Amino acid sequence: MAAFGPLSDGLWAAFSVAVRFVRVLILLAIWRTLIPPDVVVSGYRLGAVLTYSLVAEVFSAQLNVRTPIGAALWNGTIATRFTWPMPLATQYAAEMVGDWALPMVLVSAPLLLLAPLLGVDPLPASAANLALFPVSLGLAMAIGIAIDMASTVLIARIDLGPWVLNAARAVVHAICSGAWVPLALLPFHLGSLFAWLPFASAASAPLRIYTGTGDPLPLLALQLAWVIALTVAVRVAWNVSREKVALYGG
Amino acid sequence: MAAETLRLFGAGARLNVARILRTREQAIAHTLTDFIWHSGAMLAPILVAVRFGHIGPWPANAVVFMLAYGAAVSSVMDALGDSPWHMSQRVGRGQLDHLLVQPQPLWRILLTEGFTPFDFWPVLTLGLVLMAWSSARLHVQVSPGWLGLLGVNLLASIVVETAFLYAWGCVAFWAPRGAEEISSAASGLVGDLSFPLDSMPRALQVVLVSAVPSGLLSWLPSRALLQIPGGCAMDAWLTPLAAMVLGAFAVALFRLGLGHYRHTGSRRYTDNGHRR
Repeated sequence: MAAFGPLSDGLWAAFSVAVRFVRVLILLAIWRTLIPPDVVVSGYRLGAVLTYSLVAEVFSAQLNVRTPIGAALWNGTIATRFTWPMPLATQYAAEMVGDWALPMVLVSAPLLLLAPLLGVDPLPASAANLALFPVSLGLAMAIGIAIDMASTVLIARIDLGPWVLNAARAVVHAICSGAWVPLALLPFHLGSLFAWLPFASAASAPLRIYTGTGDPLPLLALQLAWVIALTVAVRVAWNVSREKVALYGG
Repeated sequence: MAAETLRLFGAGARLNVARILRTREQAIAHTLTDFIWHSGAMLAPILVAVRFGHIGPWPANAVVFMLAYGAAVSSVMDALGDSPWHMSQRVGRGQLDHLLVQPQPLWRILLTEGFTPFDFWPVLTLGLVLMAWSSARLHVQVSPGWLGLLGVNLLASIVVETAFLYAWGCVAFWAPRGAEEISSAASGLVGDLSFPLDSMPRALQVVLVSAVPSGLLSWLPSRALLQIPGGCAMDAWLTPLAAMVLGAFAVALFRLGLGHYRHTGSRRYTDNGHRR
């Protein structure tokens, strides 16, 4: 059901598709002006950065997980969901995964197919990297869902509108996660600091594994540690906060 | 005419102050959010420019100027209310009637309603301060003429974005249900590009300063004002020219749509008041 949701906008759904194509074209063009061919910048060759940016756009929804739970909490539609025989996080995560279907077909798949025309090699660094990528991507999504649930706890506890947290999360995602810019290419050694944060494990880690610009085992270990820590912390926080959820309307 | 418009702007400002004073925590949270959103959006391109010292022909300070210019444009747009972003909703849902029954010309209502100057001053201040700072670092010869050109371009960028959103919003006059959300979809097209476009293919550059005029909201005016290589002296007048053309087009389309609306009205509500 959720997969067909974007089609309710009719032809206008094509606008967001166009924006994503333009965004990736701009990023690819900019990297080409910044990194000369055959020059290694902070461990990245131009080819690796281009592949990194393309794959980041292909999996942009999975690397920046947003379930509809925050908005549902704010507008009250979450009320009936408490009565459904399924954990809340699972319900909203399932909806989110449904939402991914159409963009996958309209943007992600065409981007991968068109990559050679854009001058980008879409293949992973090696077969081993390709095998580890889905594992890392799964862990990244689990961290993303945990972060999303943590935001929901904040909305419930301090009565913040979801858009307030969305703004902060958008900034953190743009800078700290490595989804836009590889962390190693940030100035002032910020990347080495951000690499330890859960945001990097939710985006940068799978991209580094795919492009072969990071050692997979430490990256996967850190991701696993964040999944466990965040899941436990968020479950505890939600259990002590769910009684504070107040809804009105009808 | 001007006095009445100013009076309505004043009423909007008073309401804005009253809301801030009565909902202090929320008002602070919203203002802070807007500030974080805009300043954060600027940060990623700035960090890239700082890391490499430039983005194409743009030195890091020029990138800061471009992003600050964009922040100034969007903060003034926000302060002038959200009617451009909701035009298709209003037309599509028949809510234009709420404006037509008011004892004011439609243009005045659309210009003055939702005027919230005190919500967006931090972003505007950030934009102006960063523009001044980066201009100084770039040793720009700031003269009254240059400042005038900056003001004209800022105004033109605002007109371009408003006209673009209104023009798309007018589709809802003819397709009230199908195009109900077209204004917000169109806003996603113009507002999401925060890097210099010099390195883009020429054909895409042309699209981004004409059909989808994102490039006119910060890139082209900044390149002209800072005299970045790749442009020419006449570029400083391209955005004002585009603003006149797009503005005239949007006004013509709106008048056409309004004429159609006068004949059809809204067909979205049943006799029981439910929306179809």
